[in-house]
Order: sequence, then C-alpha cells, then structure tokens
Amino acid sequence: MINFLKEIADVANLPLEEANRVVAVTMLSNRAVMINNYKKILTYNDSHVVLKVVDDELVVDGKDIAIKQLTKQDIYLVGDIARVYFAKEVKKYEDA
Amino acid sequence: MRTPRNNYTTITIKGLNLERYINELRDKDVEIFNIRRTTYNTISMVIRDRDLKLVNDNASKLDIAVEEHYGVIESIRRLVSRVGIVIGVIISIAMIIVLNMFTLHIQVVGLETIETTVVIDALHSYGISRWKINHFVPEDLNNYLLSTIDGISLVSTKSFGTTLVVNVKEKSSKLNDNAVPYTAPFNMIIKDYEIYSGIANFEKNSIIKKGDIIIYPEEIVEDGVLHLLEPRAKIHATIWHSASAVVYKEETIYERTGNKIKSYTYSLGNLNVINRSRDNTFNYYEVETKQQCIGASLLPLVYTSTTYFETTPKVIQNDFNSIKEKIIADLTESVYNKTNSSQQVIDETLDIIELADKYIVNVYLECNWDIYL
Repeated sequence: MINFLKEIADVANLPLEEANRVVAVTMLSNRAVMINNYKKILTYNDSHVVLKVVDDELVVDGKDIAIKQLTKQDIYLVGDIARVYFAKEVKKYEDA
Repeated sequence: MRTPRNNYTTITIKGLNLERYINELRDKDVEIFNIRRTTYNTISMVIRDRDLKLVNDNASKLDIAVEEHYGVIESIRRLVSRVGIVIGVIISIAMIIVLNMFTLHIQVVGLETIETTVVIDALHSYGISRWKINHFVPEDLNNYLLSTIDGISLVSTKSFGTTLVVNVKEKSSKLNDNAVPYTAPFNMIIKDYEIYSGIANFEKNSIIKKGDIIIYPEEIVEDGVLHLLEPRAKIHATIWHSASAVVYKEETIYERTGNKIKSYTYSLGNLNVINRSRDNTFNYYEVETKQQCIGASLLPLVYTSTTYFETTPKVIQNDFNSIKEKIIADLTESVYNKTNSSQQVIDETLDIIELADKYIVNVYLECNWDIYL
C-alpha cells in the first residue's frame, strides 16, 4: 500500500506525508469500493452513503449497499455501486 | 479482519441518528462488520463478542437486540452443552481405542505356491487369530513361522492398526535331476504368466494344445555338475469344456416277440459230456449266455447255456422338444462336473444343430484357469 501511495504521490506531484493523509478510493468493478482515510459517516442507507473526508464529502450511490467492514481508518462498501464522487467538487463544476 | 478464533455476535440496533452511533463506536476502536440498513431506523451489524459490552454501554437511547452468536469457540461451547453428544463422542473414542487393540484382519503377502491357509494355521498354533488382543514379539513370531512352515526362506510380521501383515518369501525351486517338462493338460490360450524357474515354451496369448510342452526344467551347474530345477510358474489361461448329445429323429428299437431258442452243454474240461445245441433261425435276436460251475473240485462240471430271443424291429419317432430340456440339463451337469475349484466359469454356450435325421446338442463352458506349479 505504501509503494502504491508513493507511486500515486509521484504522479500527482504530492509529498508522501500528504499522500498518507488524503482519502484513497479503490474500486473493484462496480461490486466493491474501499475508502481509506475517511473521517466519519454522515449518511448511510442502502442506496446512498456520504462520508466526510478531508476538505470534502465522498458520495457513493448505488443499490443494496452494505458496509462490509468498518474500522477507524478504512471502510469497505459492497453492493451494486453506480457512482462515486466528491460532492463539493461536483457542485463547483455545476456552478461554473 | 474476521478470524476463526474470535466469536462474533449479530445485533440489531433500532433508533435514530444511527450514523452518529456508528461513528462513536468507530472512535472507540470497535471493529464492525456487515452493516446493513433494514429500515429507516434499524440497522444490523456484526461485532466481536468482546465489544458487546462497549456497544451496550454506548447505546443510551437505542434498542439493541442480540440476534445470533457464532464462531468456533461458540460452536464448541454449544457442543459441550449437549451432554448426549459429549457422552457419545467419549464412548466412540473409547471404542476406537479398545478396538484398535484387537487384530481384525490378517494379510499374508508374497506367497507363490504355498496356500494362505498354511500360514494362517501356523499363526493360530502360535496363538494369534482374528478378533483377539494379540501381543507378540515379532522376532519370536518370525522364528516360529520359519521353523514351522516348510518352503519359506524369509518372513517378517508387523501390525498396522488392526491389521497384521505377514510378509513371506518362499524358498527357490528344488533341485531335481528327475524333473520333467510340464505338459498342458487341456487345450488352452495363455493369458498371463509368471515363471519362477524353468524355460517357457510359449508367449502371452499363445494357443496351446493338450499334451504340448509348456515349461522345460531349467539347467544349472553346481560344483561342476549339471542339475535340473523343477519347473515352477503361475499361469493364467483360458480353457474350454464341452459335452454333447445326439438325438435321432427316428430310432429303430428291437422288441422281443417271446420266442426263444435255447442251447446248453455240460462239459468237463474240454470234454462236452452233454450237448444240446440248436441252430439259431431268427432273423433278429438277442443273445444271453450263462455259465455255471456245478460240482465240487473233484468233478468240475460246467453248465453253459446260450439263449436266443427273437426280436422284431420297430421304428419310433423321437419328439425332440419334449426331451430337449432334460438333455440340456443333463449335459450342463455333465460339463460342470468336468471343472474343478481352480477353474472359474466365465461363459456358458448352448448350441443345437438340426440335421436331416438327428439333432446334436452341445454345451460349451469357457473357464479361467489358474495353474500354480
């Protein structure tokens, strides 16, 4: 995981410390998504999950979404996932 | 990550603002699995048993219901609480331990010409038999078997659980200067063979006729003298037996008419004392001859009579269908009597041939034959 972050940090021109701090989203097709470094769950129901992340909110939309595992750092969502997006960024583009 | 050594509990939580509650549990390092929202105010989740107290303590205005406990330790606890199962397991283990002390099966390996029963009988005489707790010193048993059974050069015994395995090596062939080649007692086709001593005069799938030589004695030179080794082999062959009967459609039988002509003589040695010979004038007849010694050794008088019974020929028709079943049964019995215990019947064929004047019934048996020399 650290090597993966290091690679992403190099590609994105980010320092490694910041790469460790920001949210990381890993998707397996549309069946599962793993989110690292989230802050807390804002909303959870079986079609809409909103997570608080650094400076933003991460929204996961879909059907029959369940939280497979939840720890302090990571959350694993499974189900029929349709969309994963950052709410504030989307709003910024919509307003623009 | 869920691991088998932990116990897990499925709980249902009812209330509002459940996300805040989940975040509180997460902040207290509680690992939560399989969170599902069932209704707008109910979620179900799986937590570790050790976190259950913490979950209950934090749920002030929520209803928490425990649905299910599971895990390896929980399963073991449930099993132990069922006394019947525990007692059954203990009894089964005890029975297995006790049964393993018995010898249930004796396996003899490596025999070529010696019968297995010879080895089993020797074991019985030593005191080892099936369904007994057999304690023995392998060295003693090996020495006993070597001294008791003729024809074995090496023996080893070992117990594997409830099976006693006796491994035997037979002595090699005996020298016999009068050894003769082995000839085939039947017509056969050789299917498989193993030569222990001797020179084979055939190959696999050879067709052998009765009387053909199949194994020659092997010649060896010992101390400068030529000796012969008895032929020894194991041969697996296919042989055939047959029995047949002929039933004529028309048969001529001769019946006595009641007329007869009798001639007799009384003789003393070569001298005919009384001679009443009469010529036979019948066209068809049967003859009966009697001879009787009358008198003591002082006067050995011999009475000889010859009687001619007149017969008349009579043609009868044989109804084959009415006697067919009996003929087939008699032939089958006759052909089976030709087999012995070392022959295994693999096929039986019935053949009925109808000719102009007769029926020929044949029964053939095809057998597998194992020969041990």
